[in-house]
Amino acid sequence: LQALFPLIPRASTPSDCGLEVRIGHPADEPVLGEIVYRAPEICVLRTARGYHLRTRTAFLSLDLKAGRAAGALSDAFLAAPLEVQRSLWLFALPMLLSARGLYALHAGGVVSPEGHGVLLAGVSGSGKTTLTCALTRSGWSYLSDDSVLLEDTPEGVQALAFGRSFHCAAPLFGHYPELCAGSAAPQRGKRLVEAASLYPGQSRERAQPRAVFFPEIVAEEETRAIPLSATETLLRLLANAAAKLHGRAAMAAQMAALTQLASSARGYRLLHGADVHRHPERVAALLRRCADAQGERHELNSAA
Amino acid sequence: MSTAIQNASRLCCGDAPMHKENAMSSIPLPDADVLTSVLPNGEIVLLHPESGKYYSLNPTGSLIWQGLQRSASDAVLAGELVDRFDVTPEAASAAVHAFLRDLKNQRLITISQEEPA
Repeated sequence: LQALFPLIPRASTPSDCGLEVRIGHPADEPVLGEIVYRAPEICVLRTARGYHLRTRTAFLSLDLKAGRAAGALSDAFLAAPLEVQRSLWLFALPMLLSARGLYALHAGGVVSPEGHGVLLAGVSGSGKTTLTCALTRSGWSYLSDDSVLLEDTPEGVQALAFGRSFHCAAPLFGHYPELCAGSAAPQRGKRLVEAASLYPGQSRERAQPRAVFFPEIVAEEETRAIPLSATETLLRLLANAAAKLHGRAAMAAQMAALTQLASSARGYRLLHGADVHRHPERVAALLRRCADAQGERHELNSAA
Repeated sequence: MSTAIQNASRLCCGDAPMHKENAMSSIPLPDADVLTSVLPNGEIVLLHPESGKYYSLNPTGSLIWQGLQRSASDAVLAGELVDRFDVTPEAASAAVHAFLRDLKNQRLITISQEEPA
């Protein structure tokens, strides 16, 4: 079981979180619910108390109010590679954590040498992993390459590491051969890489985001950062947050956390060019300047 | 100014029939479930929890939404636009009604009719 939960470091869960996953063989009773998501590997139903998640070899019923998941994991499920098991946990955990004030955001997270948190938010294929690798190689600390948990605290929104391993597409291994070390066998053209073993001593568990970048890959040499208003930043954050949580109260709390983040952190479109691979130090310098920007902001590029 | 009012929101326009003026004033009210976020620049972002859709309002749309939260009637909302901007009462009324129609189409408000006193 321990192997299933490196996804959330201990410091990411508040002491009163009280999440509970019981593994046993409860009766697989009929479940009445509305299908809210269906994919080849998993089906998600919304039920009266929360959600019911079902794969071919396991099911979990989530009681969000109690912060509890109960279900059955077959021997076939437990014998499957961790990568296969992840889809169940990566659905279940954000749902359970949202009921405890932790909201998943589809974003990579890094921390500058000055200690400034930076989020890289975007869909798969926008370049989050590439940027995370380039920045970590340039001496930045690693929080996550794909998902962070946001926690709204009296001191501001904190980004918490969520997922210590990340997926890399084959072309990235050419640019970052160190990724090959310790990675699992490729599946569907991607490899699962254990970050902790890649960059020992560079992992962080939480940071206060000072800037949020929304990366887009462009066919240009230089990388450019274009400032966004707080409104534009919030709209883009909403697009990368869990679209629907269970109940209005949870959605209101998530909206408040995202609004606080959009108001306090500087938002930028990040059009990243070929220099991400050729001169990662220039891109790292650009992101540092953006995170440090004061007052009226202008477009910045990696050549300056 | 008319451009700002015509662009009172970035909401998608539906195919609702044109509003017909009548003797009654309507009382539009925000849907109780809709979540409102006010950014430091005064702009408002709305989220409809049921659909998961979100909407941004520009300053004029934000002014109207704040009026709706005070239960202001369409006539009062149009009056506020006339007071705030260089616009005729007719243009203000048309802009308010067009905006309310968009909000109603997106299920962000409900509209009840009020008999004249």
